[in-house]
Amino acid sequence: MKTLKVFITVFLVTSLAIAAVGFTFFKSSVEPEDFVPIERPAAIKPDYAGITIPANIAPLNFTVLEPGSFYLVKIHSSSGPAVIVSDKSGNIRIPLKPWRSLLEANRGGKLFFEIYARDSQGRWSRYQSIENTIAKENIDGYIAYRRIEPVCSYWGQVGVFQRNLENFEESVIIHGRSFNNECVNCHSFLNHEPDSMFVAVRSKKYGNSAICVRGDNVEKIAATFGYTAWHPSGRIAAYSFNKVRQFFHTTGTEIRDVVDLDSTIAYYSPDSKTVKTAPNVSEKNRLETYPSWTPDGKYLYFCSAPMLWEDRNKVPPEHYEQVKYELRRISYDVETDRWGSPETVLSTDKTGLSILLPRISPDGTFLLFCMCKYGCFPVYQPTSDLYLMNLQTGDYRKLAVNSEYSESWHSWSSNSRWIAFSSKRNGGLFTRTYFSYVDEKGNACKPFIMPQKDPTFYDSFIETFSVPELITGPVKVDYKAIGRVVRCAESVKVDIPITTATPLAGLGDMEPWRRPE
Amino acid sequence: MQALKKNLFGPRRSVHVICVLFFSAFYLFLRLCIETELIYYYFEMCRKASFFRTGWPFLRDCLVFPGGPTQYTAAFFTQLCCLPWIGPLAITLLAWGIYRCTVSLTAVAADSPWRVICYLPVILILMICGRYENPLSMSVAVLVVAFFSVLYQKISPHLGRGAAILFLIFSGLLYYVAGSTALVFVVLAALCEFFDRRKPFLSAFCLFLGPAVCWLLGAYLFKLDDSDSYLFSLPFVPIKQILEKEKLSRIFGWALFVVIPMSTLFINVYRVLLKERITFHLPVTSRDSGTVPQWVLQTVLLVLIAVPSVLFSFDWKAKRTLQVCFFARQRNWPEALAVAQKGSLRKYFPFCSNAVNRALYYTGKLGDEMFAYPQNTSDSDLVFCKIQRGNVIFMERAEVCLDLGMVNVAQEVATEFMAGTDGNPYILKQLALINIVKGQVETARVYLRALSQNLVYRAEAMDLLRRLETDPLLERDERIQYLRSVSMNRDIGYIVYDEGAWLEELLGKNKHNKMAFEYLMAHCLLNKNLDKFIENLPRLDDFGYKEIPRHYQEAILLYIGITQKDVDIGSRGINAEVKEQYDKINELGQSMNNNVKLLQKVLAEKFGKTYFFYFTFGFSESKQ
Repeated sequence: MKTLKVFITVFLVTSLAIAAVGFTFFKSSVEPEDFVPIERPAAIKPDYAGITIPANIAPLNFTVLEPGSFYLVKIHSSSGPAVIVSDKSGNIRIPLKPWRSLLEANRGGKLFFEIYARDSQGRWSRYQSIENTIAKENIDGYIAYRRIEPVCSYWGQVGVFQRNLENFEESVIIHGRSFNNECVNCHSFLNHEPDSMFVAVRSKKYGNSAICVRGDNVEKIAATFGYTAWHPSGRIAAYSFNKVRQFFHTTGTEIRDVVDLDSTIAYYSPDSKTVKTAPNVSEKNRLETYPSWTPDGKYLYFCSAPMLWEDRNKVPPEHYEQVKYELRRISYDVETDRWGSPETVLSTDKTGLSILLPRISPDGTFLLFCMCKYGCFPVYQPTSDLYLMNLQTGDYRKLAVNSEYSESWHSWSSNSRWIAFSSKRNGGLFTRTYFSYVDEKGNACKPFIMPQKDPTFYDSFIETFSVPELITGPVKVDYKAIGRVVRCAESVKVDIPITTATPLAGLGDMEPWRRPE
Repeated sequence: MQALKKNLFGPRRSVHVICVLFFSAFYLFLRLCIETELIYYYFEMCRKASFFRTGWPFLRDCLVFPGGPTQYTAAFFTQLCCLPWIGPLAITLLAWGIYRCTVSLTAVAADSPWRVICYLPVILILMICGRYENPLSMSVAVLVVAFFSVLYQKISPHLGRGAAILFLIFSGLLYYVAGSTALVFVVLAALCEFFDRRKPFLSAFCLFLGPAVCWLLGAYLFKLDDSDSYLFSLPFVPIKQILEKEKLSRIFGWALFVVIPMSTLFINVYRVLLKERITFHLPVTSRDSGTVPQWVLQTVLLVLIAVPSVLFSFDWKAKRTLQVCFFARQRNWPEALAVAQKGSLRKYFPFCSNAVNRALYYTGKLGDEMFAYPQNTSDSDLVFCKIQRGNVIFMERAEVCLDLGMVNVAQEVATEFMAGTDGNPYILKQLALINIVKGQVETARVYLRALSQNLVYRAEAMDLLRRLETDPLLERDERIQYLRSVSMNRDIGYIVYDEGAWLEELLGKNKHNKMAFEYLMAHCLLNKNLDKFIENLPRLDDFGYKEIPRHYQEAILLYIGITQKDVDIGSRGINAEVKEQYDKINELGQSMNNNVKLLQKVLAEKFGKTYFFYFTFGFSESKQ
C-alpha cells in the first residue's frame, strides 16, 4: 500500500512537471497577439531576406540581430501550417520536417518570416515581414567542396567534403589525413553525377597524382592534373597542366597571388589510359587553362593568354600584373578524336579584364565566367566578379550577385537554374559558398549563403569553402578506399607529352604549397 | 608516549607523511623552479598542439576518434598551466592520482622500501615538465588507464568467468577514451590474471584479445587505417624532426607508458621468486633497538632516485631561453633583457635572439648593446630567421613584422604558422590585430570570435569585440593608428623575404619609423653591409639622436679604416674610448700577424661585445 502511494505521488509530480514544461513551451510558441509593429524588417544574420530559395533546401537557420530577451519567428506561406520557432538568444533553428513540408507545399510561392522580439518588460515588437520566394525548381541535392584554412605555402588539414543540401549532413569524400596530411584539390564530376569524379592529389610522400573514380572503381593516375573537365560522353577528360607558383603582396586586401609560369591543356582517356595534347590548345608561347565542355561535347571552351616573360622560373615573373586571359573555344569530335581551330569568343581587348573559369549551363544557354584585373587565379583577386554570357547572342553582363570582394569557383546545377559560387564578401578573406537562382532570361537573384545547423556557424569558422560543385547525389565510394588507392604504390602510368609546362624531375621543392614538416 | 610515537611514526602514518612531503615538494618544484607558464608558452609554439575550445564543435571533434575524450580533458587542463598557482596544482593532482593507482596495482605494502616504485611515474612526469614538454595528455591517459586497471583488479575476482567480459568492455571503453594507451590496461589486466589470480589462460586471452579489440574498433568503428588503429590515438606522435630537447622528453614519455606495467611485473616476479609477499614487515621503528626504520629507508631511496633524476633532466637553459621569449611576448622588455644578460641561452631557440633584439630596441639599447648578446652571421635573427627548427614555430615573428609596419608580411607569416596548429590562439589574436590594422574588420571579428572560445584569451577577445562595436576601425586606439601610419603602401610581389629592401621601403613611407631605422641599421651591421649603413647614417637627424650609438660609431671607424673615405657625422662625435679600442684591435691584429685563432682568443675577452669583434669573426663573444 505504501509502495503504491509512493508510486502515485511520483507519477503525479512527474506529470505535473511535464505539463509545466509543456505549457511553458507551448506558451512560448504561440504567436503574440499584443505587440508594437515596427515598420522595417528585422536584421538577421546570415542575410536571408529577399532571396529565392529551392524547395529542397535545408532550413535557413539564422540569428535575429535586434534587441530583446526573447524571440519568436513565424514562418509561413499561402498553404500548409506555419512553423513557429522561439529562442532566448535569437538563434533560430528551424525544425527540418515542418520546414520541408511548408516549402514543398508552396513551390513558386512566397515564404514569410514574421519576427517578434520581446523586451525585458515583456512587451512584444513585431518587425515587418521578411519576404522570400520559393523557386519551382530544386537545387541538386549535394554539393562537394574543399575545406581548408586560408593558407599560404603550408597547409594543415585539407579535405574534399560533400554536403547534403536538404539537411545538414556533411561527410568526407577524400581527406589529406588519409595519406600523411597531404593536399587534395580540384575535384570535378561528370555531368553532375557523383559516380565519375576526378580529384588531384599533391603528395611528397606518395607522389602527385590524379584520382579517377568511376563507379566503384578507383584509379590512381601518375600525372598531375590541374583544372579538369569531363567530356559529357565520359570518354575523355580535358585538363590543364599548370606550372603554378604562388607569391605574395606587401600591400592590399589579399596577400596571396598565383601565377602560371606556363600552362597547357591535355586530355586523358580513362579507357585507353593515355594522355594527349592538341596543338591548338597547347601553344608554346601561350598559357592555356580552365577547360570546360559544352553540354553537347562539340566545343571545348578555355582561357588563353600570351606568355609575357622569357624566364619561366622567375617568381613573380615580369609583367605578371599585365597577364590577361581571353576566352577561346575549339571544336572537337569525340568519335574521330579530331580538333578544330581555336576561335576567340571574348577578347581582353573588349573587356580590358582577365577572363577566367568558363562554365556552361547544362542546357547550353549560358556561359558563366569570372573577370578580374589580371592573372589566372580569381579567388585571390578581390576584383574578380561573375559575368554571364548568352551563348546564342554572345551578349554578356555582370551579374547582380557580385560584391566588392572576390567571387569565383562557380558551378551550375544540373537543371541550369541554380549557381553555386565562392564569395569573400564577408571581410575579404574567408570564402563561403553562396547560391543564386538564375531564371530563363539569365537574371540572377540575390545570393544566399549555404545554410548551417548552427546559425552562428560562420561567425567563428576559420576555414574556407572552395570549389563548390553541385552534384545530384552523394559520392558513394568510401574515403578510406580512396585513401588506400592514394597510398598504394600502384598507379596508372601515362606518357605525358613534353611541353614547357611539364614539371621537371627534382622540382618537388618548387611546389607552391607544402605540408608543414 | 610510546603509543603516541607509534601512531605518529608508525608505517602507515609515516607513508602518508612521506607522500604529503613528496607531493608538496613536487608542487613547489613545478611552481617555483619549472614554472608551468613556460610549459604553456612552449606548448603554444608546438605545431601539433591541440587547444581547448569551448562549445560543442570542439567537443564533437574530440568525441569522434579514439583517445579524443582524453585529449579533450588534457586540453582543458593544459590551459590551467598558464595560471601560476593552479597549473602546478592540476599537474600535482594528476600525478597523485597516478601514484595512488600505482600503489593499488603493485600492492606494495606501505612500509616497504619498494614503495618508491610507485613514485616512478610521478618522477617521470616531473622530468617531462623539466624538459618543458606538456605532460598532460600523457598523464591524463595514463591516469585513466591506471584507474580502470585498479577497477578491474578489484571487480574481476568477484565475476568468475565474467571477468573476461569485463576485460573486453573495459578494453573497448578505454580504447575510445584513452586511445592506444588502452594497451597499458591490457598488459596490466594480463599481469593481474597471471600473478594475482593464477589464471594463465585468461592472461593469454587478455594479451591476445585486448589489442584485437583496439584494432577492430579502430578499423571498423572509427574507420582508421590498420597501422593508425594503434598509432593515431597515441597522446604523442613520433615526429622525425624534433629538437634535441624533445628527444629526451619523448623517451620520458614512453617510459611513463611502460613504467606502471613494468613496476607491476617486477614486483610480481619478485614475489614469485621469494615466494612471499613483499611486505617487509620488519619490527616497527625502534631507535632504541638500532634497526633502520622502514620509512627512513623509503625516504632515502626516494630522495636518491627523485633528486638526481629531476636535476639531471631539468633543462635550465631552456627555461632561461623560454623566459626571455615569454617576457618579450608580454612586452616586458627589461625583464627579458635581465634574463638574457645571465647568458647560457639554448642555441636551438634561434629566435631567442629575435626577442633579445626586440627588447633592446624597445629599451633604446639596440645600437649600443646588441653585440653584447649572441649574434651570428649564419643564424642571427632580426626579422626573418634563417633557420627553421623542427616542430617549433616562432609565433612572435608576425608581431615583429606588424610592429615594423610590414602588415601583409605579418599576415603571411602568421598564416604560415597557423597551418597545422589547430587554431593556435596566439596566432588567432595576431591575425585579428593584423586584419584590424588593414581595416578588414569582418575578418578580424571571425578570428576574435574563434579566439573567444579559448578560455585563456577569452577576455581579451571579448574586449576587442566590444571595442569594435563602438569603434569599428579602432580609430581611437593609439597602437592601431600608429601601425597604420607606418604600414607599407607600395605593393611588391615577393616570394623570398628581402629584409633590407623592405626596411628601406618602410622608411621611405614614413621617415619617422624609428623601429624600421634601427632594424635597418642592425641589418646592415649584421650583414656587414657598411656601404648601406653609411648611406643611411644621415637618418639619425630624423630621430633626434644626441649621440651616435656605440655600435654605429664602431661601424663608422671600420668603414673609414677599410675605405679610407670620410664620413659626415655632423655635430656628433666618435667616443674616445671607441677610437682607443679600434686602435688597440688594429695594433693587436698587426702584432699577431693575422693569426686568426690567436687573435680571436685575445680579443674575445676584452672586445667580444664590440662590433669590431663581430665584423672580424662573424659572431659576438657573449656568454653562451
